[in-house]
Amino acid sequence: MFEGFSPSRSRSPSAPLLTLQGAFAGTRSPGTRKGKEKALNTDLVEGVEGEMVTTSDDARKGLRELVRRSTMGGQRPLLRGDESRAVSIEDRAYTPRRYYILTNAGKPVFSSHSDTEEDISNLMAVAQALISIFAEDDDRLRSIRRGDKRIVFLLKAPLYMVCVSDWGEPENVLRVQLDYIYLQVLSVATSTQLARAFQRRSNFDPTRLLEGTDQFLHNLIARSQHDFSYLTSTLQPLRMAPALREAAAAALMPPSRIQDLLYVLLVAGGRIVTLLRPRKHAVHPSDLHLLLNMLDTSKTLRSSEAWVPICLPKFNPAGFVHAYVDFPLPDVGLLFVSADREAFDVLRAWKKVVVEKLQMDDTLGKIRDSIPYHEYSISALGCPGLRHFIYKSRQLVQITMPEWEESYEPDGPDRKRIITTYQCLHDAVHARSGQSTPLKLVYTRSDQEACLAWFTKPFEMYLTVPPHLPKSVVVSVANAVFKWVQAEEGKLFLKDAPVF
Amino acid sequence: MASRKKVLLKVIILGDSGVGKTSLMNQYVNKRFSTQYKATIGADFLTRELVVDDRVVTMQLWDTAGQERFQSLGVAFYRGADCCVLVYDVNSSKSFEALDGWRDEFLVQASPHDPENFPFVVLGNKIDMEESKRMVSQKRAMTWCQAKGNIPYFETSAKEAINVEQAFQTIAKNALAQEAETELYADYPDPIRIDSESSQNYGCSC
Repeated sequence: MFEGFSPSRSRSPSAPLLTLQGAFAGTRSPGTRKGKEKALNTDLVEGVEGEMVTTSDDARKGLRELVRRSTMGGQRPLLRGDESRAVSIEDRAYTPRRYYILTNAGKPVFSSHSDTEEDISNLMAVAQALISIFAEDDDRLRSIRRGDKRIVFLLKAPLYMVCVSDWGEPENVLRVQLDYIYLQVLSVATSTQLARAFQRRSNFDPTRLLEGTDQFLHNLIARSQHDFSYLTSTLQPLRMAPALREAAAAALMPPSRIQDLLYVLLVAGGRIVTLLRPRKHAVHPSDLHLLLNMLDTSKTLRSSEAWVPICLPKFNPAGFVHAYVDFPLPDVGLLFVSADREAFDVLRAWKKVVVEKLQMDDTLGKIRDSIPYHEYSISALGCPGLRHFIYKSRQLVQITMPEWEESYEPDGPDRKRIITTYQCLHDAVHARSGQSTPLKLVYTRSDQEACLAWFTKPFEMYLTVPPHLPKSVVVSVANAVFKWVQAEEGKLFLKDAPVF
Repeated sequence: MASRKKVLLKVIILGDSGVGKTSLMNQYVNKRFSTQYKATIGADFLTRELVVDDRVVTMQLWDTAGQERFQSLGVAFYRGADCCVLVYDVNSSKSFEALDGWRDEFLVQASPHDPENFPFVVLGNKIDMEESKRMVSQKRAMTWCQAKGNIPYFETSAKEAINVEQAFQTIAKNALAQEAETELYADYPDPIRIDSESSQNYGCSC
């Protein structure tokens, strides 16, 4: 929940400064780890063949044992224990991840790659067969490790989501991505609709129901892999002058006669400028990601007035709300989310009033002019050695990060490596992969760089520095980032947004 | 891939061990036949595209192991099948007599929504063998098929590729006939009230 949006929020507490003394006790660099993970042999079908005859007379039991054996051993977090991965994070191939959706009958629904129809169909059948072997025992297949590859399953009957990755990220990272994919599907076909259709016919093929959602899924998948606001379930609002943000919020305050509003949003450059909500409703970042992904994917929505039914699953997975969308300027848009199916005319009329208000003092134009200043360079912090960072305000449920330096090319291995490292660190500080206790501070170093994760009550920080920077300097860098963000908070984050 | 506009049919192939399920499937999909017998472990999958009444159909064939130790793959495995193909060997009475069991097993496990009209197809395989070896007459097989609600019956040879195309064409056609439009859009979900207490329940701590 966005506690930070509540006007009664207390001042952000000042975090204790990080000191080197004792800070690194108990952390360990993965560079020194030895040993190899046990070799696993689950070539989905062939492996099964080789093993089963000798292990068991029962097909299901044999398969289960085989899959289980391969699933164990793969669950160790990157930063703990002496067992290391077969391939270290710096040598990974970063093959594009593959994402699939299938029905619980094994029928393909979506594939992120344009493999042949035959390949996808066969693969989905195998996936369903494997899942079914465990389902017979009321068990749920979570993931399979095979060499460097990890296959993660998210079972949300009647749909299953699957991801194949060799990036070496924690399992939870892929599970979060699969969950977004599932939510994207629900935004088009509610869970109630899906459940009813499959109750009627277990062989139901939802592809027609989901027609036209491919582009939204592709866009979401691309974003969810590198945009940290997905993994952390946060927002990254437009960086802009706080006074301008406040002026926009004031113009957006809905009159009391308009009922059933859930969200009132102003977006610019694909980012949230301000967001108003009813007092008693929490903001669900993943629902907002679906709304932003919708605007980001559809040019049509950005170019003409629209009234879109959409299910926001975290708010209510059983039904549709309606979004009124209009872009008064090419890159500045208004989005009013209402539960009232008939509210189009009312919201359209109100939009005119809002736009008039926003045009006073040229608020709209100033917002547009802020878009190019959203990105900031790492040099803005004046902090030698700092290459990149992500700062998450836990109170505001928002993040900020500078633009990547040129050497970290988009889609290049260097950027992927750092993102994956951040994901591993995020996992470690949140103990998402079966560790007994979350870590407060994690330092990891490779030949290319060193990364630090720092977890406190008010914030989380992940940063990248050169590999041979002394730890005392890393500590001062972390403190400098914290101080800078504190000073810039008003611009970086959306604070004290009004409620209605 | 773009969302499939094509229909996908899940077809489950059942029958005793050694009657030629895998061979039929291989003949149909890969146009190949091998005299070497290799038992199917658990299950195998093949896919072929075909055209039925001007519609492109993707047939997802679920080949199963006939051996007893691999039987009972379970509810989840059979779920959502569009058609079930029962295979026996015309030179083996035992494999023919087992059809009842296979059919029952399928109906119990898959529990299709309309079991009376669920599309089955029966294939009597290995008709290329010499006539003297034949144990199940065409008449006997057809009588059984009629008694079970007029199941279409084909006599096939995976080895000589006799009737294989025709049989699978019928399988697809009958499965397709079952595929009715589900009127999803008629489901108007209940309106959501923003202020209602119930919607609060969906609030999460994220």
